[in-house]
Amino acid sequence: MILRGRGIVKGYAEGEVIATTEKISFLEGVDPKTSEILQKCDVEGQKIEGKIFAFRGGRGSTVGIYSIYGLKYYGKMPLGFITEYADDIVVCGAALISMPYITSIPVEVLRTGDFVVLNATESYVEIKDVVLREVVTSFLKKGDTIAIFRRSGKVSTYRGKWAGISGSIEKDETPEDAALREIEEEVGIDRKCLTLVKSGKPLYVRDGKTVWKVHPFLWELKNCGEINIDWEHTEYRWIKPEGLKNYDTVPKLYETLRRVWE
Amino acid sequence: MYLSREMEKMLEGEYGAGKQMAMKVLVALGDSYNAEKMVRIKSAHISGASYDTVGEHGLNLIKEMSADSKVVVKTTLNPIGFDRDFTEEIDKEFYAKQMELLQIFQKMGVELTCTCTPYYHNNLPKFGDIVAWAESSAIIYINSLIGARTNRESGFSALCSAITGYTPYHSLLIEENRAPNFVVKVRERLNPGMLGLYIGKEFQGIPYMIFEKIPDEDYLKLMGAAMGASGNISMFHAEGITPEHKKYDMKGLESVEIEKKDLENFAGNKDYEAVVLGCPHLSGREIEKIVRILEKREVVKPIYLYASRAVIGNMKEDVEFLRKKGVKVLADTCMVVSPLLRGKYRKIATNSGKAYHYLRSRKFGGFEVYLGDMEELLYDSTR
Repeated sequence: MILRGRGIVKGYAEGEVIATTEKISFLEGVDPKTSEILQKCDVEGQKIEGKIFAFRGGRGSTVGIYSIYGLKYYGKMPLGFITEYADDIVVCGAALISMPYITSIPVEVLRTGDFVVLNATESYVEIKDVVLREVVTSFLKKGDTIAIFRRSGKVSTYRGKWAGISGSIEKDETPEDAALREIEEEVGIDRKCLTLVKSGKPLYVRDGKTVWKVHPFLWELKNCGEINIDWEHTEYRWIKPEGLKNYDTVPKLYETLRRVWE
Repeated sequence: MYLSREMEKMLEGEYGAGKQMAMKVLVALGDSYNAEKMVRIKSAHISGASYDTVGEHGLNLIKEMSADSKVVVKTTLNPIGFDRDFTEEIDKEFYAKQMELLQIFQKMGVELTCTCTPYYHNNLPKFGDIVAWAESSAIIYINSLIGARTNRESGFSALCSAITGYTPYHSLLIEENRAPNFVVKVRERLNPGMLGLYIGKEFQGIPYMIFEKIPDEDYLKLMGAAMGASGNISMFHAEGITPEHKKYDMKGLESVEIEKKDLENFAGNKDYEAVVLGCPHLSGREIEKIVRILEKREVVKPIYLYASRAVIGNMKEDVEFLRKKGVKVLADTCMVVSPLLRGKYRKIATNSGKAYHYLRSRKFGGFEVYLGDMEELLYDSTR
C-alpha cells in the first residue's frame, strides 16, 4: 500500500522499519554512538542504524539536533525517518545529515519489521505486502444513544464482533454515498430519514497485512424508517456511547466513534 | 520555497561546505512550515554553548562548519558551564573542551558574550527587526518588549541563519501571527515567576496581559522567561506597556483572571540553604536594587548573583561592594547550566520561575526550590 506524505529532505531509501507511535527525544532518547533507542517505549533497545525509523515526532531539547548529527559522525546512520508531525529538531537533524525524511504519515499503520520504500522526493511511503482497504463506518444516533450491530457468521471479517454499519467504498463513490448505500442495504433505512451530524477525520487501523482506512460518520435518525437488519448482522442495540467500551468490537471502534462524537 | 540566485549558490556549495550545510537545514525548515521565501536577518543569538550539552560530536560539527564559514550578522552566545575568571574547581578536561568550543565560535565571528540577556549589552534589536534567536527567555523578551521579530529557533538553526544571513519566513515573523489568542487579567501583585509558569503550563498561543498596576521591565522579563520554560509561549502583549498591544482586536477572545489562589501550588518551604538570583541574567537596575537592600545589612545565608560579563563590567563599584559583603557575583554562567551548586546544597531559593522549573528536574540537580520575590529573599537571608 502507498501512503502520501510531505517530503522534507529529498531522497530515496528502502529497508526494514522500526516503528513506534511515541514522540522521541533525541538528546537522551537515542545513543548516537550505538544508534540504540534508550527512551522507555515499545522499541527501547532496538538499533536504528541501517533501518528506517518511524516515530510520531520529535520532542525535548533542541540540542537533540546534535545527537542526530552524532549518528552520522559515529557511522551509525539510519536509512531514513518517517514521522507524523514535523518539528524543528527532526527537520534540522535530517537535513544536516542529508537523510531522506518524510512527514505527515500516520505512523500507527507501520509495524516494526515491515519492509518499506521511502520516497521523500516524490512524497510517498510504500509498505510492501500490506494492502489498503477504504471503508466507511456509520453510527446512527437517536437522542443520546447510538445503534451498534453484531456482525453475523456469514460476513468475511470480524464475525460475531460488534460494529457500526460498515462497508467498502466502491469505485467512483464518495465516502458519504458509500455510507448512505450501506445503511440502506444493511439496515433498510432510506436516506430521507437521515441527517448527517458529523463526518470525522479518517482513521487507520492496522490488522495483520491489511490496513483499513475508516471514514467515520454520525447520522441522526429522524422519526421515520425502522431498522431492519439483513444477513450481515444478527442483532443490534441502542446504547450510550461510553457503554461501547464494554462490548467486544471490531478494532478501534471506540476511537472511530470519538472522531464524530465528542 | 522561492530561493534567490545567491541562496541557490549557497545550496550548491559555491560558498563552501559550511554555508551549504546551513542553507540545506534552513530550506528543510522552511519547507516544513510551508514558508514561501527566506528573509534577511539583522542579528542572531545562539544557545547550546556548553560542551556538556553539545557533546564531542556537536563540537566536531561546529568545527566542520567553521572551517570555511563565518557569521555574516552580529551574533552573540548563551551562557556556558562556568565563569571564565573562576576556574580552579573546574574539571581540567571539561575546561579544555569548553575553551576549544568557544575558540571555534570566536573563529566564526561569534561574540563570546556568554549571556542569555545580550539585549542589555550590544545585541539590542530595534522595533520591527527580523532576527534569528535561540534561548526562549530572550526570544520572548525581544518579541514582546521590543517588538523585534524572531521565531523560536534552536541553537543550531540560529547558527545556520547567522552563517547565511537568512531565515525562513513563517510564524512569528508574519504580522497576523502575532495577534493575541487570549486575555489574562491580573488585579493584584503576583510573583512574576509563578504567574509565568502558570500561564505557560495552562495556555497555548499569545496572551494579552492586563495588569491593574503596571509592572516594570524586570518583572516582565521574569514572567516571560517562566512562560517560555513551562510551555512554549514565545510572545505576550501587555496593555499600556508593550509596543504592539494596540494593533489587534480583542473581540471574542477567551478571558481569564488569575489570582493568588491559582498559584498556591508553587508555595514552598522557607528552610532553604542558599539564594540564587539572575535567571535570566540580572539587569543593571536589578543589581542597583540589590545593592540598596544590602547596604546596611549583613549576609547570613549564601547569595549567588548571575549576570553578563558586560553588565558586571559596567557596574564595577557595585559588584566590588557586593563581593566584599560576601555575595558571589558570577559572569558567563548561571545556576542552571553550572554544576557549581550540585552536591553543595539541597534546598535553594530563587525569584526565577524558569530556574525553579529547571533546578527541580533531575537533569539539573533535582533541588528542592523555594520560589519567592527578590526583596523577600534578600531580607530573609540577611540581617
